[in-house]
Amino acid sequence: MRFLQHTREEQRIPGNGEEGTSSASLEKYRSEADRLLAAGDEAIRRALSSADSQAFLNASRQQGGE
Amino acid sequence: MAERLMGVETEYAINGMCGQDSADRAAIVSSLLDLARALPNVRDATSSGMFLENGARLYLDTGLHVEYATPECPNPWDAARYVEAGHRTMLRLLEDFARGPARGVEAGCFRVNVDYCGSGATWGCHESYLHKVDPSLLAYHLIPHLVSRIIYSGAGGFEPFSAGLRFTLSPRAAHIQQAVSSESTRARGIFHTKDEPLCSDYHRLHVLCGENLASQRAMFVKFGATCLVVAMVEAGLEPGLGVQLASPLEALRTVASDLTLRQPLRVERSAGMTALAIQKHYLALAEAHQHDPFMPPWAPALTAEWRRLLERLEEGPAAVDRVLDWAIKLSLYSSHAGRYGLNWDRLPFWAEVTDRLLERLEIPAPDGPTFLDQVTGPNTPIPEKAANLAKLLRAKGLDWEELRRVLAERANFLALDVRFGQLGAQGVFSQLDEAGLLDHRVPGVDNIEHAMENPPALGRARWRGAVVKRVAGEIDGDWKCGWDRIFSRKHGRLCDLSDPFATREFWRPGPPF
Repeated sequence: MRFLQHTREEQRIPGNGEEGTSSASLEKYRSEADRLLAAGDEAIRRALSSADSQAFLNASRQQGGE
Repeated sequence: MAERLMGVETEYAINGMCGQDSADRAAIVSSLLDLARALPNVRDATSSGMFLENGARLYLDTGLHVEYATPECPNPWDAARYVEAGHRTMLRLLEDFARGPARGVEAGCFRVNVDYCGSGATWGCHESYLHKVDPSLLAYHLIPHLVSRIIYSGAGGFEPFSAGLRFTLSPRAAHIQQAVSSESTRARGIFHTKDEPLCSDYHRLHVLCGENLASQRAMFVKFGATCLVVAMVEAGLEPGLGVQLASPLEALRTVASDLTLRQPLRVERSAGMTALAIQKHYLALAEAHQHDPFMPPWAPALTAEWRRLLERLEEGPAAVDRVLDWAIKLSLYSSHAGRYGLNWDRLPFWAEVTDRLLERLEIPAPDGPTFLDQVTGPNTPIPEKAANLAKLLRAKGLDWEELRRVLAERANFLALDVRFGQLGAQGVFSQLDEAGLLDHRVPGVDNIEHAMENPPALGRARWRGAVVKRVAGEIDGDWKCGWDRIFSRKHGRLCDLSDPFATREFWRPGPPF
């Protein structure tokens, strides 16, 4: 989380012109990022709820390959 | 303008859960292939698999995984489209499976690249590019491209050989052990020397350091850019000149572990270049020649997309965190860690501590944090090391409890990385895509349902698909198919597909033996 906050603060916000960031577009970007992270957390919760993770990984163990 | 052909092989991880228990994977895979035989198809002449009516090949490969090889595609839109058609085909088979007799078994299909169980195995996503270059020239010109393209072609995930949690742009990079190799299952190389053309008069570049991706934009630029680099070498240009990596393997590790995209790589006769700078070098050459007769007609569209992507990457990971697989994962996983009270920035440190402890203890990677009791308890086998570490942690304001929490969550993060690329509504990527929160789609990579049943419009795949469609229903036809031929012993006929750019069906007496 800190990594993202750090990088987002340091970097120019994508999609903005050379003049820099207007507060409206910054707000829009933050809102989109928040929506993505909130939806991501919900997706992760759903994905991890169906089985014990270690059991799931063991079930996926590859035998040989390529 | 010159036409080109490319193709992609996707190896799918398949698993099944019955409650909290593993289901019989061999039985699931066997059922899926049985279900696939209900699709219009002709039997593969060299395996138990089949060729489908869109010209693709579906079969069972080593390690109980299903592999889907796209038909030969004339442009990167089609390459991405037929990869998606493969996903959709697998999903349909899973749906059929769920309606079948094995009720209670929840089978899943995953776009994943490495096994996190310590088996050292991988699931590949191999690309093929048709060309007429002297194969001995390719490694020089391709390796800097293959290493540096990871900034957009990396799938993201965790270091498969670390017992901690160390995020990487390319989990598969850890499995690459040589710059050039002829092996595909061990001692893998950045550049694979396999040259099995499966046709007449051409060579086939086989790239095996790529990864299964969910982002269309990442796939599109990966296929298109690599194809243009090959076209430039074929035309006698020297795209590798000026960007030769002093140590390709070291550069590969650096690019894969550099989440800032700013780390310079050692380049011969240069002060050092970032992966981004190397990509810009290739792009500039492609742009300078994009209208030349040797280039495919889609070159200008591809270079425009390539440039847009590199410009976004220049702004850092946050600029592509709705576009590229690795950046979407980085954003989600770090946020998720924060919600669980884990300090994302400190995970690499704890991974280093864990790996060194295990090395000292000479024990394999554990499933959870219990081995810490052994390290920190009164009967620790490494008392001096444990005391020094405890002192070091205290000086940093840290304690073993944080590592215990990291290790307790490790399996969840690894499972999450497998679930990210799960096909269907349960997949994390699919859920975000369905909600319209991602920016990964490429206009023109569409009509997926159509691509499941119809071949590309250009090249021999068109004729392969047409013949498969025509003869698939013949009960006693005895038809068999390969990449370069379809034949029936019974009818004594063979459709010759040895010309990859065939413009018509060419029939002659068969069989071929």
